[in-house]
Amino acid sequence: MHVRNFFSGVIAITLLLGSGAARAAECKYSDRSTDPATGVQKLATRPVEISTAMVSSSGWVHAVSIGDDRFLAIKLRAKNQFPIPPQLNINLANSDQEQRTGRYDPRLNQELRRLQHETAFVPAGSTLRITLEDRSVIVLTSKEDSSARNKGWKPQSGSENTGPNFLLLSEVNALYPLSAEMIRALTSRLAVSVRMETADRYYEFASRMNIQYPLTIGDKNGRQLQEAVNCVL
Amino acid sequence: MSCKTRITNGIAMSCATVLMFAASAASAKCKFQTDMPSIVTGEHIRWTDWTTFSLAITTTDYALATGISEGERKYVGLQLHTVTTIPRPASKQDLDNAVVIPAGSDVFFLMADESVIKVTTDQAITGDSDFVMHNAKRYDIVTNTIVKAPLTTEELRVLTAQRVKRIRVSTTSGDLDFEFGKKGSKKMQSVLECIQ
Repeated sequence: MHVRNFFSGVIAITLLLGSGAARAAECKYSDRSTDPATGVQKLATRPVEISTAMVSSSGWVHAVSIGDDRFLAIKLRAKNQFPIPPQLNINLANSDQEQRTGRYDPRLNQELRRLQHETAFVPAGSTLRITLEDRSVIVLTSKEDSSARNKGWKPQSGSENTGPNFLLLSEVNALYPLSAEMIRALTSRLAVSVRMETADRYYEFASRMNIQYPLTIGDKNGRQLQEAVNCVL
Repeated sequence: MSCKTRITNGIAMSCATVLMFAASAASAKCKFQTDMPSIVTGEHIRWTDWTTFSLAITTTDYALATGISEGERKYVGLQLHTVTTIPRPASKQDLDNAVVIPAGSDVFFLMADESVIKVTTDQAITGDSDFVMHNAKRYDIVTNTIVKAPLTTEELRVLTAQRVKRIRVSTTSGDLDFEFGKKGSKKMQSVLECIQ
């Protein structure tokens, strides 16, 4: 009798450990911390890539929980080029020469600073539009301003790859609160496409090469996004 | 003579078999990219796979068609791919206004017998736009617009029975025309048959 009870107990414990291990294997977190001041727990899933190599912008999504609140966090990494504004009327050949001698046209520096300040900025109230596989659309709205880290290069006349343009590599992280209704939609339907709004433009995280879903993030990434949201519930 | 008017049981049975095969062959051709209940309304939503139909050889613009059913309602879906060239980077306003189709806009189907079917969109549509830079003086705004126009049973019947030669979609910045040949027309008919 005692032996039977012992084995039953062992089997039950093994099953419990097994299910816990399986869940832990599914949910992987990049951040699992507790705020020492407030005691609020933060969970952030590992990033899910939501763009393909076909486009010049890349995006990653984390599902985040901070205390009782749930969020989607997006990291956008974008490459943009901007022409020299016509009103500057700069002779780049002279500028190249001036750059070599350390006397670069200051107006180019000024324009670059403006672009670095404005590009890929996500003001509060910017939208993140997610289209689901049943064709319904959910729109998330950012709660706070998010500034980008922009690395920029001034145009040079001899630049072969980019032409005589400013080149900016931008990276910005934006946070979008999730309502219970949005969570229900995201966990029961795959996301098909994601469009992020910044102050200056929209970024579609998708390839236009797929005819069936012209702006798809792909089934695999859609499933991973769904799993990520499930991991912070 | 229809199958129902056949008198012998043997012939009736073979008729039924032929009809079953025909139905299964037709349904086998139908592929749906969306086939599930809507999380919002609970209605069953079906979108067939897109099929290319326009003559895309001579132009960068092209269109694709799909048959859509939402519960009992039927729609023809058109995916319009358009390219506009501008001499500067596109602003957000440029992208927002590239293709705008207000609710109540007309979609015309010019049929093979020169008759015209006019359907009307029941929701406002804004195309999804992105821009591509070629050089400092040439930027392309690439817009993908999905137009949904409701169809009556009669309109759906005519569109599947007869060849469409041309489609015109009215937008706030003018009409978009898409022309296609017999092959493209048959493809469009085949996706609409899937939602009949």
